[in-house]
Amino acid sequence: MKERLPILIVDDDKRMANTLVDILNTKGYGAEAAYSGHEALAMVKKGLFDCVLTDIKMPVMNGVELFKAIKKENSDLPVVMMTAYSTDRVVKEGIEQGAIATLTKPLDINALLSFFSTLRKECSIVIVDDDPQFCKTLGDILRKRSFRVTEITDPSDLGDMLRPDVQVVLLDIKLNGVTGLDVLKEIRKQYPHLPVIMVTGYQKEMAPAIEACLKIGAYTCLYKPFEIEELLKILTEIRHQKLGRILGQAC
Amino acid sequence: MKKDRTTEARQLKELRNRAEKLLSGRAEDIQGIPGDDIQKLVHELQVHQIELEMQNEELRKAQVELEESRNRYYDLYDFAPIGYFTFDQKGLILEVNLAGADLLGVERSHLMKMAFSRSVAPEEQALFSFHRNKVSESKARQTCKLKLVKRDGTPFYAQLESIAVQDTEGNFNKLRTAITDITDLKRAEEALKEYSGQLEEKVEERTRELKDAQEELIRKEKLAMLGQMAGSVSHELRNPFGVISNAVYYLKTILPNADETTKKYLEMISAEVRNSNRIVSGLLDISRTQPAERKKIIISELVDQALEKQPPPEGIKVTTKIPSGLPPVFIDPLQISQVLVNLITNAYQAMGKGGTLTIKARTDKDKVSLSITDTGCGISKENMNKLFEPLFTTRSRGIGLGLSVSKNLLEVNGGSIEVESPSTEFRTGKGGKGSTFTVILPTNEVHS
Repeated sequence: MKERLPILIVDDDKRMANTLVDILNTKGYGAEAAYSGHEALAMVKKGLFDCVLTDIKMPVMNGVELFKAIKKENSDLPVVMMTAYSTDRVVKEGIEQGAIATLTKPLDINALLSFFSTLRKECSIVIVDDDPQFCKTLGDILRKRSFRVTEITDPSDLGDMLRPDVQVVLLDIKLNGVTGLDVLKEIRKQYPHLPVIMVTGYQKEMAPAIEACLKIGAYTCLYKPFEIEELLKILTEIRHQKLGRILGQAC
Repeated sequence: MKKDRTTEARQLKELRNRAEKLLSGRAEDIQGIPGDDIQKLVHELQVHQIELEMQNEELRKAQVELEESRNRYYDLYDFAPIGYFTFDQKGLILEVNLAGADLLGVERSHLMKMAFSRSVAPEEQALFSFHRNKVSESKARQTCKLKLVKRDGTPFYAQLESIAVQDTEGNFNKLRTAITDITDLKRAEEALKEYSGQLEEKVEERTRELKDAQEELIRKEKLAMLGQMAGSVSHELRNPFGVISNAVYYLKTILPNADETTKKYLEMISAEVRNSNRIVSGLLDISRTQPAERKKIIISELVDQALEKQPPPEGIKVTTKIPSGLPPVFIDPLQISQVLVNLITNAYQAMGKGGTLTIKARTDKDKVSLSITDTGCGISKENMNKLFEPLFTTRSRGIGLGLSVSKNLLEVNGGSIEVESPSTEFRTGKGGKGSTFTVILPTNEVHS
């Protein structure tokens, strides 16, 4: 868990920004306020924040414009919007552009706190592959990117290792003794919504098995050797969806 | 009436005899007259005789011309297209032309000395004698319209134009009257009157329709304006609400050990902010008029959802009688759900002392009608007309947009709303016997 999750609060209404900063800091976060889009962007460029919560309706640079600018700087940075004008067209635009959620004022502070608390936790990933070499290398890379990783080479161990805080499973389709499909079915019994990413080196031969896995809700399938950036992109996507759900908005 | 030549010759001879007699009385005077003078006298006489004969001939000619003219006028009189009558002072017929006899449907000879009043409808007798008196007194031309009756009983309308006529001694004792059949005219007049009446009715109806349309337009405009206003005010209020609720949250967090009163007051503030925000959200919901996104919906599911959203308060029982197998309705589920929630909320509020809410549905051709009946206070006749007007409310709290908005939402979904309250039929001192709002929804996709 990070010590003090740095959060940037952006609102041209200083009282709104300041009260939020005060609340979050009392709850142990490292929140700071910016009172305009440009000010916020300059602070983001310094790379100091792990999350941005911005108002939409602001003069000069509005929240959606700020969000677009932030995306150019750091596409992984989670951005949440807030507004008093729930019917505005800009709200739709924000969601379409990939903001995690749009909240209406007055904010539900409890939901916001549980959102930040999830954000503060490192993302926990389980890798299931009978190739220890693959497990080790991928685990090391992800740990460097501040994920919490558990490697499993024997699928029969999976039952003990799966915990409610696990956020993603990477699952090889062809394992020793059992198929990835069977393992997936086992996972589904206990965690029907846990995102599972299938992995295989045999794109053609495994096609029917891949098809079957996707059919029962596998998130997607990656083909070895895959770019680590591609995996990270998917992991960010999954994380943002989960965060959105906490704020009551499924993306 | 022509006199023949023989009569004329006889008359001339008689005239001569009378003249000779007159002459013989003075014969003695001739004896003493000298011969030359006699010659002269005879000549004079002869000239005189010729002169007289010439004069006579001219007179005869004049008489013939007079008779011809008289005959001509008599023909004109008889064959004129309108009836000419001559009455005496009592109204007896002295003279009548053929057209006049025709009008009354009687042979001319039978009309002589007959009272004209026999041909006047009984109810108009007085009018006829009044007309005669008026003519005699004024000595001027007078007109009147009378209902007459032919001999065979057929009634007809006639116009009488009369003048008083002097006899040779200067007494006005006769009436000359021209009578025209105006039945066709009268009928045309009546038809015209009827038509103009119908026209007036039509104009009135059209005016009423226009007025209704105008009122509807005003209602919609008023609603749109109010919606806009409510929307922007609500939005603007959310900003300060946000700050207040943040501030209270902060205070509660940093003051976990505050005294009970402080805690109570802080709780009061956050509860009231929540309340205010709920009111504002409600306003936003009803002021939002977006185009309908219509799809096929099972009405019983929509009713269940609305009842879940608005569970009955204590003391109110809810009965739903929705037959299975109703066709799905083609509507925007969000909008119609809002209508149902509005109607259900109203029904609960009408039953402050408890009661029963009954929701029934039935299908009729390509419509499904859903009725929501309460056993509450009912609606008075005066309020019935204003029910769907924006800002009309009987509640001490509430702004009176619910029904007005519901009506609009139904209209954009191809539906309609009707209301019935027994209190509008028999108003007893005890007040009404509840109300029924019926929502009619289309099942057909074509009706939009």
